[in-house]
Amino acid sequence: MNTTSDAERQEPGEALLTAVRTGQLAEIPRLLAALDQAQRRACLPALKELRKDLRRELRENWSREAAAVRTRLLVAGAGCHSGPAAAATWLGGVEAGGRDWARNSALHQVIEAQPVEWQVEVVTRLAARPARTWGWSMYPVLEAVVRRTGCEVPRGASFVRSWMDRAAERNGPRPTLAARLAKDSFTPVLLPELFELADIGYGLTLRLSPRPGDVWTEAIGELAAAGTVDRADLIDRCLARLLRGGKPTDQRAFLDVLRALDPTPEEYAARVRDTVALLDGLSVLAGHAQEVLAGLDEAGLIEPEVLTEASAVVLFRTEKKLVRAQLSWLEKAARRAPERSGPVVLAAAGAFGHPDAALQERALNVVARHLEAAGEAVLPELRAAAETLNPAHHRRARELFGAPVGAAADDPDTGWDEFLPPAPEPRPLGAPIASAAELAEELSALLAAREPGVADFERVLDGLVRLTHLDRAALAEALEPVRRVHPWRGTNGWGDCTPREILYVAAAVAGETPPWKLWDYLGGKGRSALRGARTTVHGAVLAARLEEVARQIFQAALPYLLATPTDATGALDAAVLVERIAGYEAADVTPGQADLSQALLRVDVRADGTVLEAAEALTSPAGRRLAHWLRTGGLPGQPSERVVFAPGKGRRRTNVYGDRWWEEIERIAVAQPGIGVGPKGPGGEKLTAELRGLLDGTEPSVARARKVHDWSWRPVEHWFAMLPWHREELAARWLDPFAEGADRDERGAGRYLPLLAEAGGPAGLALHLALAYGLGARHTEDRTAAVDALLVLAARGELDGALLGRELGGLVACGTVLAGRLGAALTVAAETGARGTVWSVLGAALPGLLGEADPSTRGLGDLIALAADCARRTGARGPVAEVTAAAERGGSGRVAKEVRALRDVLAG
Amino acid sequence: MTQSAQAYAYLRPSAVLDGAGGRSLDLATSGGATPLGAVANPRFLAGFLADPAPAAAALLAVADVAAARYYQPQLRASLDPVVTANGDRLRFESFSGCCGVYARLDVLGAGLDGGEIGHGTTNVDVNNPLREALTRIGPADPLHLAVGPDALEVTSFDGPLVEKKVPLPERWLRGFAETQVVAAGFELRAELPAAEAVRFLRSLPRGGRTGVGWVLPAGRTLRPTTRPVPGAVCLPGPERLVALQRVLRHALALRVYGPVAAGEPTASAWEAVLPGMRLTLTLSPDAARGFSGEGGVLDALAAGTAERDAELIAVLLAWEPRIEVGDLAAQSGLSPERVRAALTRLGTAGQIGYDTAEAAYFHRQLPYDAGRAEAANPRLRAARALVEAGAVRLEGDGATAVVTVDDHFQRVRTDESGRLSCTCLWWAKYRGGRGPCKHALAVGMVRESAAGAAGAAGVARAAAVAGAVGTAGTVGAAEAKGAGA
Repeated sequence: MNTTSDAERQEPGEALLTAVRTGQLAEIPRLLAALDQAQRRACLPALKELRKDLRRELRENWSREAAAVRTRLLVAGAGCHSGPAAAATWLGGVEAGGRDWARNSALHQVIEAQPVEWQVEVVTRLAARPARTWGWSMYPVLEAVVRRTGCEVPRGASFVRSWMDRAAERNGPRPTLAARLAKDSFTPVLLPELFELADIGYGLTLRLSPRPGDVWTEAIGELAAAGTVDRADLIDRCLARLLRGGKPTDQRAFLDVLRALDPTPEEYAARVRDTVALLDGLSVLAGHAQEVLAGLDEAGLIEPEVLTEASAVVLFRTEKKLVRAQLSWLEKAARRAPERSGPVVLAAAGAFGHPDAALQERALNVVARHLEAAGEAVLPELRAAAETLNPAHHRRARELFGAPVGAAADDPDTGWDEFLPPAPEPRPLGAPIASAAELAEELSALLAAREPGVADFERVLDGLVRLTHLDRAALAEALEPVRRVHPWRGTNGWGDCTPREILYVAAAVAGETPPWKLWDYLGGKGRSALRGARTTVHGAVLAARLEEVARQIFQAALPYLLATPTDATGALDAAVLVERIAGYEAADVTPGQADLSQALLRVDVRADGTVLEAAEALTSPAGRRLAHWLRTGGLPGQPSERVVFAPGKGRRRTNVYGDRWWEEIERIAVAQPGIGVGPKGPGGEKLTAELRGLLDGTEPSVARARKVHDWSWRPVEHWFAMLPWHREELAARWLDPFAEGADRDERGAGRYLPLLAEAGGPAGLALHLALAYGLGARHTEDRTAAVDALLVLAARGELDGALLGRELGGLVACGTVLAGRLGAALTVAAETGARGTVWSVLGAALPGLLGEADPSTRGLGDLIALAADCARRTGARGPVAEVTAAAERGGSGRVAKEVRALRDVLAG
Repeated sequence: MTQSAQAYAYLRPSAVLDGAGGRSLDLATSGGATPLGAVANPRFLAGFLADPAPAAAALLAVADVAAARYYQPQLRASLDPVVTANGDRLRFESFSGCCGVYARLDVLGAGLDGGEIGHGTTNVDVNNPLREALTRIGPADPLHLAVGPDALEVTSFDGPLVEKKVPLPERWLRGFAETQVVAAGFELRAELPAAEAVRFLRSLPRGGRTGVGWVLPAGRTLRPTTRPVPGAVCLPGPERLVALQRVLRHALALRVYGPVAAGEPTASAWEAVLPGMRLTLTLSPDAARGFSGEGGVLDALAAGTAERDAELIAVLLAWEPRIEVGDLAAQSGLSPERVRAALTRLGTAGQIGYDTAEAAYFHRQLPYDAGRAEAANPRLRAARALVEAGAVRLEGDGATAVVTVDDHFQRVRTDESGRLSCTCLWWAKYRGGRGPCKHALAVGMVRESAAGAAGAAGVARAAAVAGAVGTAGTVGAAEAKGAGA
C-alpha cells in the first residue's frame, strides 16, 4: 500500500526532473502545478545536484543544449523552493553566461502560481541584492510582480537604475519620456531615489529624441511642474546632491536638473545656505549660484551679509569670469545702496591677492569708486589687504589709501635678492666594492633596477675586475644566487647594448664557455655577443668596454679598471687616474684600449701642476699618453653652427601613417663638423673607433630626426657618462628628442636637461637650444626639468641669458615653442626667486616676441606681463627699442596693454 | 587576502541639528575604548567650535580621505573615521581605502570653546546628510559640537540602532598602524605662509595619476623639481593632496614633513595649519604602494624582547596628548631605548599615534583588533617558517649567513654598521627601503635566539641586545661581537 502511494507521489516529480533534463521549457509550469509542496521539496536535492554539475559543464564546455537545460532547471527551481529566501538565492545566484532565461514567460507563470506573500518576499530580496547578481534581465520579472501585487516598490539602487534604463528604452514609436513617466505608477516613488545614484550624469542628459521632454532632465522638470512628484522635495534633493560633490559629469547633469526644476527666487531665498555653499563647488555650479544670489540680492530677498560671505568665497577662486562677475555684483550693490559701500569695498579688497594682476586692478577700481562713500573707517583694513597687491598697483594703492604700501623686500629700491639653488655638489661614487657578498648584492640590485644608475654600474663593473683578481672561485660562488635569477642567455642580437649586459662579464667570471670564442666560431672573427643590427653608437661603446673586461677576466691580471669615474656624472679626477696608472706600472700590467680611451675622455683636464708633474713621471705608454693628454688639454670642443631645419614637403608619397610628420616642423638646430680621427697620443695612439663614433660630424636631417624617437627606455644617463666633458657636443647630436618635446608633444626627454646642465665642458648654442625646447615642452614634468636645468646653469654662472632669450624669441615667433608653455615654465622660476635670471632671458627675447611674433599669439600677453613683473621687481631699467616701438603702435588688446606697462617700467 | 568585517552600531546618525540653543553638530559614536574600559557609545565632548567654517571643511576633508581610494579608484571602500579625545584636544583620523593616505585633524584647545574633553577612542558616523549639512555651515553662526550621546540618551534609548557592516581588510589595518611608525622618522622640512601655500597647492594636479614628484624649499615657497636633489622633499602622487583643497581658504600656513635622507621615494606629511586646528595628510611613497607593505616595524615585531616591555608600557598609558619617553622610562624602570622599542611595538598594535607637528607620540587605541593583523604579516610569517624549517645557516665569521629556500639559497650579509642585506630580488628592488626581506628577518631571529640561549647567564649582554632592538641589524651586530668574544 505504502509502496504504491510512494510511487504515485514520486511519479510527477520524476516527470519534472525528466522535463528539466530533456523536455520543453513550456511544459514546466504545467508539471509544477501538478505537484504539491512535499513533492516539490523532494525534487530540490536532485535539482541542486544538477545545477552543480551544469555549472561545471558550462564553464568547461559550453553548449547550447546545456544552456537550455540550465534555463529549464532555474525555472523549475523557482517553483520548487517554498521558502522565499532560498528562492531568491536560487534565482539571484551568480552564473557563468547570460541570464536570458529570466525573460522567458515560463518564469513569469511559475512565479505567478506561487502565493502572493512568497512573490513579494522574493522580489524584495532580489531587489535588495547588488545589481551584479540579478541584472537588467531579471527586472521585468520583478516589475511584473510589483505591479500585479501592488506591493511596496523596492528602492534599492540597482532597481532604480533598471527602472531608469527601461523607461528610457528607445524601440519603435512611443510617447516622450515625460509622458511615459507621468503614467508610470513607479514615478512618484522612484524618481526621488534617482538623486542618490552615483555615475548617472550620462543617462540623465542623454536626449532620446529632439522632442521636448524626451530627456530625463526636462522630464523631471515637467513632472515637477505638473505635480506628479513633490517639487519642493526634488529641489531639496537636487541641491543636497550638488552640495555632496562628486564627479563633474554628475554635477553638471544635476545642475541641468536644477535648471529644469526652475526654482523661483522665493524658493531659492528659502534655501540660501545651500546656494551660498554651491559657490565653493564646480565652476559652472558656482557661476549659477552667483547669478541666482545676485538676483536675490537685487530683489532684496536675502540678508545683505550674504554678499560679504559670497564675495569671500568667490574672490578667492581662480576663475577670472567668476571674479569679474562678483566685482560687478559688488559695484551694483554699492551703486544701488550707497550705505553698503563700507562692506562692499572691504569685500572687494578680497581680490587684491588674486593671482591675476588685471583683476586686482579691477578690484582697485571698484574700491576707488566707493571709497568716499565708505568713509575713513575702512582704510586700515584696506591698507592691510593692499599688501598682497602686485607691485604694479602699489603706487595707486598708496594714492588711494594714503599710506606706504609694499615696503616689503620686493621693492626695487631695497635691491633685488636673486634666489638660486646651490650649484650641484659632486656626487662621489663611494668606496670600491670590497667583498664578493657585497658585489653579489650590488649586482642583484643593478639588474633589478628599472633604470640602473651610472655609479652603481661602474662600481659593479670595477668590483667584478677587482674581486676576480683576488679570488675568482669565491666570487663565482657568491654570484650564484644572482645568476640563478638573471641567467646570461648567450646573445643580445636584437637590441641595443645596455648596462644589463654586465651579465656577460658575470658569465665570464663563472667560467661559462668563453663567450667570445664561441662567437668567433659561429659568426666569424670580430662578431660579438653584445652587438647587433640595432646597436647604437653609445651601445657600441658600452659593448666594447664589456667585451674587453670579459676577456681580461680570464687572465685575472688587472687589479682594477682605469675608467671608473670618481663622480656620478662620469667625470674622473686626474690625480686618481695618475695614481691608477702608476699602480698598473707597479703591477706591470697593460690597460685595455677601450678602458684607457674611456678614461681619457672622462678625465678632468683642468689638472693642477702637481698632478701634471706626477703624470709626466709616468713611464709606461699609457702613462705617457695621459701626460700628453693633460698637457694638450684633451679633446677640444667643436664649433656649433646654427642651422634652420625645415624640410618642407617631401617629393615621394608614402603610405605609412604618420611617417611624414617632419614636413610640418621648423626647428633651429646645430651642425658640428666631427672629430675625424681625433687627437693622437705621443706614439700615434688613437681613441678607439667606438668612442670616435660618438663624435662623428652631425647636421640636422630627416634621417637624424627619425632615428631618435624611443628614448624612453634607453640608458641615456650612461651615454652622458661616456663624454662627461662634452655636453655641447652631446646636445648638438640630441637636439631632436628635446625639440620633439616641444613641437611633437613627446614626453620624457626633458628629464635629461638637468644632466646636461650639471655636466662639464662649455655651454654653447646647442645646449641653450636644448634648454629652449625644454622650456616650451608640452608636458609639465619636462618643463619642470627644464627649469631645474635653467637654475643649475644660472647658479653655476654658465647661463647665457641673452643667447637663450634670442633663440626663444625666434622659436616663439615661428610657433615651435608656444608662448603659454614658456610662460608657465618661466613663472615657476620667477616665483621661486629667480626673477633676475628670468628677466635676463625674457629681456633678450623681447625683440623676437614683439618684432616677429604675431601679436595675437596665445599667451603672449602673460609672457610680457611676466617680463614686466620681473623687470619691476629686479630694478631692471633702460628702454628697449622694440618695446617702445610696439607701445607706440597702440591698440587695445591684452598684449598692447602689457607692452605699455612694460615700457613704463623700463622708463623707470 | 584575508579580511574580516567591521560592524558599527550607532544610536542615531550623526547630524547637524537646529535647536533652540542654536545649531549643533552631533557626532554619533560606536564601540570605543576609554580609561574605564570598553564602552558601546562613549561621549567625549560637549562644547562649542571656535571657528565653525574651517572646522566643518576640515572634517569633510577627513571624511573624504576615509571614503577615497587614490589607487584603483573604481574599487570602493569606506570605513568611518576614528576620533580620539586626549584630554586637551580631539583628533579625527581616517585612512584611505587604498592604504596610501592617512589624514588626521587635530582640534586643539584653541579650536574649542568651552566643554570638558574626555579620554578615549571611538568611531564616528559620517553619512550623506551630514556631509551636506557640513558644507552649508557658514562663518557666522556659532556651532555646538557633541561627540557621543549624553548619558540620558544612552539610558533611555530604545529605538533601532544605526548599523553598518563594512569589510575590514587586514592590510588596511596594518597600514593604518604602520603610518605612525613611518611618521616618527619625519622632520619639519618647509613652512609656507598662507598666500604661498594656496598658490602651491593650487598648482598641483587634481586627478589622474602622476608619478612621484619632488619639491624643493625655495625662499618662502616650494619649487617642483624632477629629481631628489639634496634638500628636496618627496611628494609622491601629488593628486592625493586633493583633500587639502577643501580647507585652502582657511589655511594659515602649510608645513611639510619628511625624512631627511632622500634619494628614493619616501613618505611625507603635509599639514595645513587652520585656526585652532591642524589637518595633516601623510602620503605613502607611491600611489600604488600602500603603507602596509613598508615593513618598517618588522624588526620590532621579529624581536621578541620588546613584547613584555610593550605590555608593561601599555598599562602606563592613559590617552596622553604627548607621551614623554623620559617619564615613561622613570615610571616603568626601563631604559629610554627599551621604552622607544616598546612604543614602536605598541604602534603596530594601533595603540600609539604620532603627531609630526609636536614630534611626539600620543596614546590612542584603534577600535579594531590591529595587533593580530600585524602579527600575521606575510613577510614575518614566511621568515618564521624559514626559521622553523632550519633554513638558516650562519657562516664562519658570522658576517654572512646562507638561507636555503627550496632548491636555491640566498646570502644575507651584515655590514660594519650592522645593517643586513641580501641577494634576493626584494632586497635588490628596494634595498631596505621597504623593511627587511624575509631572509634577513629569519637570520635576525636565529641570531637573537642564539644570543638568548648563550646570553641567559650574561645579564650585561642581554641588556645590550634589548637596547639595540630598534633594528634587527644592530641586534645582529651585537650578537656578532658576542660570538667573536
